[in-house]
Amino acid sequence: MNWIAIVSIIAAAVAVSFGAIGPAFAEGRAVAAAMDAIARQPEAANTISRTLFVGLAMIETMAIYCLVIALLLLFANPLLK
Amino acid sequence: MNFDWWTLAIQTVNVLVLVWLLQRFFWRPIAAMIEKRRADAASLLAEAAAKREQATAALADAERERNELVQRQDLAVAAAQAAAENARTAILATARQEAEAAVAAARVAIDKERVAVESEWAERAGALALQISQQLVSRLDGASIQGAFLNGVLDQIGKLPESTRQAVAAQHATLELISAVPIELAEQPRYGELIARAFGQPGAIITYRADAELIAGLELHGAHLIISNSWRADLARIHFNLADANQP
Amino acid sequence: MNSPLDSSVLFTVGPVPISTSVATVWAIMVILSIVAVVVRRGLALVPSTTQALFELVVDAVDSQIRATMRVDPAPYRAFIGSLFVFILVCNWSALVPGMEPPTANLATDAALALLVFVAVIWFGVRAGGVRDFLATFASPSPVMIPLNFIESLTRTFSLLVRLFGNVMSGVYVIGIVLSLAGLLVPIPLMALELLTGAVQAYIFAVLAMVFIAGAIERDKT
Repeated sequence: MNWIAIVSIIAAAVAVSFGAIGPAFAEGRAVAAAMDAIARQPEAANTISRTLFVGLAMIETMAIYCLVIALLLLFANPLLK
Repeated sequence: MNFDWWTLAIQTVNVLVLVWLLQRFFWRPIAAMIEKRRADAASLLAEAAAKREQATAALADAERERNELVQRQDLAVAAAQAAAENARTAILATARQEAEAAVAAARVAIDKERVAVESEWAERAGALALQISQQLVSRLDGASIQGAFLNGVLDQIGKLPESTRQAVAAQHATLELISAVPIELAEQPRYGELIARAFGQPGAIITYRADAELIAGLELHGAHLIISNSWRADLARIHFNLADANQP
Repeated sequence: MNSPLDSSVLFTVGPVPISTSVATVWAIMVILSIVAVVVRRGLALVPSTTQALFELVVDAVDSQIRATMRVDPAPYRAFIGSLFVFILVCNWSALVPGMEPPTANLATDAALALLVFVAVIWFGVRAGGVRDFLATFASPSPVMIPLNFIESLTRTFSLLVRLFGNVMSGVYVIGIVLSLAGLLVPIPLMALELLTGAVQAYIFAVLAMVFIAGAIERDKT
């Protein structure tokens, strides 16, 4: 195993781990804000939760991007050919 | 990594076909069914609303009719009451009139009865008086009293109007002297003489008759005159006066 | 371990290689079509329990379209609803032993995202003509035209990557746990995967609605 493979594996792990930190915080804040809004306006719970889900999906996309990069590094690394 | 373009193409076609299939067999029929049911429900609701409207109108009609009936009934009852009142009044009036008429008739009958009774009593009293006087007369001396009565007759003749006396004398009228007890034959000429002289015309033919009915006294009957000086005549006059006084 | 980015070829028809995900999608299509035909045949004005359930699905899709797009749901019902149902069934097909969900394949997700991309153009053009649709790229100002073009591409790409990443990662996590401890241990993860699958199907449909609404909504102003 050459050093490019070792670096790729480390880079994949770093990408996933650090890529998960930001969306985790962001999702926490989003959910907290949504709960706050629902507590204040229970009648708007439907709209809020729908928007929350869409927003969470958007935020999660960031983590998924990191995951895809990690997968690309591991399984489709052009430098390893 | 090599991207699988064939799979991409096939899956795109697949999903398109699936969308078409589901639209054809799932979404459209079920949505149409939901819509149809909604339309049906709406029409049913409208129908029900119309029916309810009708029912409300009918109820109002019935209520109004009922009110009318009640009113009519009230009117009828009032009319019947009025009629009954009228009938009662009429009947009462008739009854009162009848009662009054009956009372009046009874009063008249009572009066009549009373008059009849009184007249009967008067009759009886007269008869009683007659009997009593006959009894009394029977104790009297006939001849002496006869003289007194003759004087009374002679006085009455004297009181007669001159024309009457002359008429009797002129016609030589037959006179009849009726006495209670028979006048003795010996006395008869004296009596005749006295009477003829009272008329101022001697020679008058006088017949004599006795009649116990007179009780006591004399009566001179001529063709145009009757001179009574007897108790019967007196009693008759008294009786007549009494009956007259009894009349209301 | 196989690369999650590759697809295994089941057989080839002439020059065309048929991957396992294509075969799975065919199976799912057959099942859904049969269910649809059966439900359609049994339709009645007074609904049976099954019919009421399916009517509930249709009603839910309608109400979601109405709430998100604020338009009459009839023209979009079939596309949005079919997308949702298809992705949901695909995601949950992971429960069948030995079956890999087609949405865990990059090409399938790419096909779905491509359909959404095309549908946005299609509905946008149909709602207001080509000019009006192209004019939507110039809003709020012509400066935004390149950014709007790039956005329409990247959001399609993000649709693709989001669905693929979620489903594929779920499949892989379960696979790894299965290889470590076989019995009962993966069940909570599978339950979580059910939830994720439903949420991802819902999000995919909602995002498709939002994109289409963005294409047709500006025509009204």
